[in-house]
Amino acid sequence: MSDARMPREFEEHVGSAVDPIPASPQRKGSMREELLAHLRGAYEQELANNMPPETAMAAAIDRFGNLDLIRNDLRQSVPLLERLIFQFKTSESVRPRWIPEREQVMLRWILVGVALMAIGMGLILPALAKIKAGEKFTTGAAIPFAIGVALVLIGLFMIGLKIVRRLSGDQRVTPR
Amino acid sequence: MSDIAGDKLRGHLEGLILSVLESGEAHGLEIVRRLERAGQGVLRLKEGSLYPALYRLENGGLVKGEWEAETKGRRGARRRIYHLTAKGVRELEKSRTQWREFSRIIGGIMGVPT
Repeated sequence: MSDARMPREFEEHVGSAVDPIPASPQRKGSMREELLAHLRGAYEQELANNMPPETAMAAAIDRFGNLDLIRNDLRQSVPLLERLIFQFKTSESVRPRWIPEREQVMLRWILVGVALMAIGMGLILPALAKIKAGEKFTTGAAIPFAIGVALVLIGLFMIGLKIVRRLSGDQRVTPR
Repeated sequence: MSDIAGDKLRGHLEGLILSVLESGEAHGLEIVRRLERAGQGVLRLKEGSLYPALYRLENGGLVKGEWEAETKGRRGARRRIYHLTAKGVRELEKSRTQWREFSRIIGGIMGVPT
């Protein structure tokens, strides 16, 4: 079936399940494409059972299930860090319109990366000061130091990943 | 027998998906078809609920999904094909053991020993 002949209701149905989810545009684009393909397949199965198009469409949507439950389950399936990063994505009031959406995603990642690095440095510096003062480096001091180093590394990784992806023009799934 | 659907199914869906993928890779609609066929007409799955379960399994490294390279003469959108990973195979064995234990205990309580 061509895109033009696919019931418009399917796109709206899938959109209302996927659009409010706090997730990256790539993940949402991928979900949208897969769920649409499913509805399309179910619709074609119903048409093949000699159902008229309107009835086939209603049957495919009924088979798909309760949108509120699916939306909630989809939200839970997004990794926690990604959910936190994109939590404010749907809130238009906090979104500066003069920054293009793609740049906003990159900036958000970088800000979270910088925040993690700042927390990490906050844990590392007191430990370094103790060492400098000649104090013994105990296990109690080593744990926050290690967490600090890990946070700095995660922050650096997040920033690096975004920059590398941006430079390589990564466009695996084009978001709607 | 009344339908097995909704909450009765929710807690077991991930194990069931792993189980039907054991017989070979499949896209979402095919997974639903296999589940319903294996469910002997009693198992009623709301199809949209399959995908969050698949994404959780994929995040956990138990299945791997890959987009079809092409639609192979079919009309319409490309589909995502899922297959079990080695970790998924191990998890499936674990799920089966847990299920045997669960049904033994609950069956004993219900007076239907297995």
